Amino acid sequence: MAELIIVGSGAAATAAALALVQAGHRPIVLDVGHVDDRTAPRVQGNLYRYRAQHDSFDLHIGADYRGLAGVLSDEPTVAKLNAPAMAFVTRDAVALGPLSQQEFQAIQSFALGGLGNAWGAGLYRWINADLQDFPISLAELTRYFDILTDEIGISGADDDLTEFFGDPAGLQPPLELSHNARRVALAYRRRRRGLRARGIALGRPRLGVLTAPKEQRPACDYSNLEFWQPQPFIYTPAVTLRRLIRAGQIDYRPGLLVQRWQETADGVTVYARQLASGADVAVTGRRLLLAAGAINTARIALQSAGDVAARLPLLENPVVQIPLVLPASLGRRLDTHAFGLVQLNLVWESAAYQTILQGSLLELTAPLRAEFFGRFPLAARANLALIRHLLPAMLMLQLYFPAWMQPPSRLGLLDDGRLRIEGQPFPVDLARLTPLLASLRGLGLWTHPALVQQPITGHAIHYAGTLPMRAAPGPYQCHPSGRLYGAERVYIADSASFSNLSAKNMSLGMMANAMRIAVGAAA
Amino acid sequence: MSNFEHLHAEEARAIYQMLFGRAIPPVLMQRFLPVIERLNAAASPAELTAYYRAVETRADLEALELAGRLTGRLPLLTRKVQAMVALAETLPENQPLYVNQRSSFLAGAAAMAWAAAHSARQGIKGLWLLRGGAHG
Ligand SMILES: Cc1cc2nc3c(=O)[nH]c(=O)nc-3n(C[C@H](O)[C@H](O)[C@H](O)COP(=O)(O)OP(=O)(O)OC[C@H]3O[C@@H](n4cnc5c(N)ncnc54)[C@H](O)[C@@H]3O)c2cc1C
Repeated sequence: MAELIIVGSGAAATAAALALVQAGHRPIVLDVGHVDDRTAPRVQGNLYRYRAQHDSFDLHIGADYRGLAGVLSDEPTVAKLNAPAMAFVTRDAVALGPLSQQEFQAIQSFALGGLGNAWGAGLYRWINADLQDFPISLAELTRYFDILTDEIGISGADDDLTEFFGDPAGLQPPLELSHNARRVALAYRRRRRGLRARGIALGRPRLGVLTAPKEQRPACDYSNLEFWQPQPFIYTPAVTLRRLIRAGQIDYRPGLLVQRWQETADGVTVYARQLASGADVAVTGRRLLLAAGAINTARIALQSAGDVAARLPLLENPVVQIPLVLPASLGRRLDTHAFGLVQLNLVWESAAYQTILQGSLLELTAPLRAEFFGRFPLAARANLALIRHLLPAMLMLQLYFPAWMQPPSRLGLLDDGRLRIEGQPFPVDLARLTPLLASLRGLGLWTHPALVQQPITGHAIHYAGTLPMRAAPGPYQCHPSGRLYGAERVYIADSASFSNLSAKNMSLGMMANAMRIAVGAAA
Repeated sequence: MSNFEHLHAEEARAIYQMLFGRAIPPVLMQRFLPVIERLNAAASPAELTAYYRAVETRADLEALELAGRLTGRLPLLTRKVQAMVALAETLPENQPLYVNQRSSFLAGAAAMAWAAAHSARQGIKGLWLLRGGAHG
């Protein structure tokens, strides 16, 4: 009988596997595990140089027109996931994880490496404030944050955000800033004291993006291709997972859709469907670590109990997108040598919202220019002129709110096997953004409240808290050790076990917690 | 070519001409026709009627699209224009139309001023065309 079984291969599962391997175990990893099996060659060099010389239909749109999903479908989409090279990330999600949704739009992945294949790799340590409501202490996670910083290769800086992003030890130097981000950083330096007095701090992000080569992975090449193909300098969980598979340190079993578990006197049996044959498979071990993503981990828990009555909470960060113009950059040539994702982070200790908000200041150089066409309000040819002359002077602030600001969505199993997710409409009170918008003006960044957009709940893609950790748990909650209430051998290793969700991108915290839970479960 | 294919090719030509002031490259025509089919198939009969009535008048497409967008009356036209803008971006010869390669604040400011004035003019014209009653 195997000692330990992990379900999933996303960020949480990979971190759990890493911790177990480091502790001398060889876990079985059960996964659906889609991979990118396209034969299209990778684009070499710079996105814009490539586009000037080649037809880029295959890179941007694809024979199945998935690159046009935002135009062809009525449903809101996530631009990066529409790229043909990212198709494997969400492949078959509707069939494998059937949902019935209201006021919520979940993004699910059944890929080797999970959603992390497409992430922005903003990887932030937790501080005490992020652990509000958790029945564990930061000290229990510190060791794992250190291991992960080394494993991943995180770049960043010791700056005004260190107090929010934690210990900068072991970081690679930060990425080069784009022209616009450099302007903003300079303006911040000049106005720092006033901004800090208003609760606003600006600094470098912590990114799983290499600025120096590491273990055969190159440093960032500023090619703007981040949106269009997996880039070797951006860490994804698949990097670690593949290394563990190659070294024979884990027993990776793809092609299996886990349905449920059953505990016995001395073990736990996991029942799965083999996707290729449709056959049922059973795998038995001493402990089971669930890390199928907060939504699918909850699905497996409900299916195991055969419970169609329970309704579980589902946390997600409300988010708003604030387009920003730097008038000083109007008419500037496009910054084609840039990192096309997060340039700077902003933390706002907001008196207006009475909480800490975190924002990512994004460069807009990587997506299709046409992506912005529909966001401009003018005549078609005027919009094309804005794309050429205004877009190079723009950045986007993606501002996250803590999950507790919004009533949790509800998740439950239906008789027909679908998961029902009911969100709650939560229009962010934009009037309270006024002090932030005024401070942004001080940084040379202009916007108008009418331009602020709030994506549908689910599109922050930070799902958590379906089986939350509590000091004294009840049904569908877990112990501080991650062990599920009522179970002896089943542990919740992913963000399903979160007690709350701060405004910080959650993945690194989830990974550290997964390591803690895995080590505890194996002990 | 069937009547439908003729009609769709005509649409593609008109949209490209409106956006870029020149003839649509054959490869783009080929790629755009399936988009028209998909969008038409997903549109409601009322949307389709409003759209084809508007297009058949051969009125200023850009003005109609803007007014349609502002009033929510021609969503199909807006989608087709957006799809064409995305497909056209993938051709190397169109890169200068999307990517500014020389910095000039003055050129930028002039483009902004033109964009605002042009849109105001087209908005008024489009609303007038829509109000003409023939367009649904
Ligand atoms: C575009 C984008 C940008 C993002 N940017 C950031 C960012 O900058 N910072 C950040 O912190 N987060 C970011 N995220 C969110 C982040 O990617 C996710 O929170 C994180 O990857 C979730 O990891 P997970 O391990 O919980 O689950 P997932 O990544 O969802 O993985 C689930 C795994 O479980 C497997 N699985 C599921 N169900 C079953 C089953 N029944 N049987 C067998 N296997 C199963 C799947 O195959 C998959 O391997 C981003 C996400 C996206 C899409």
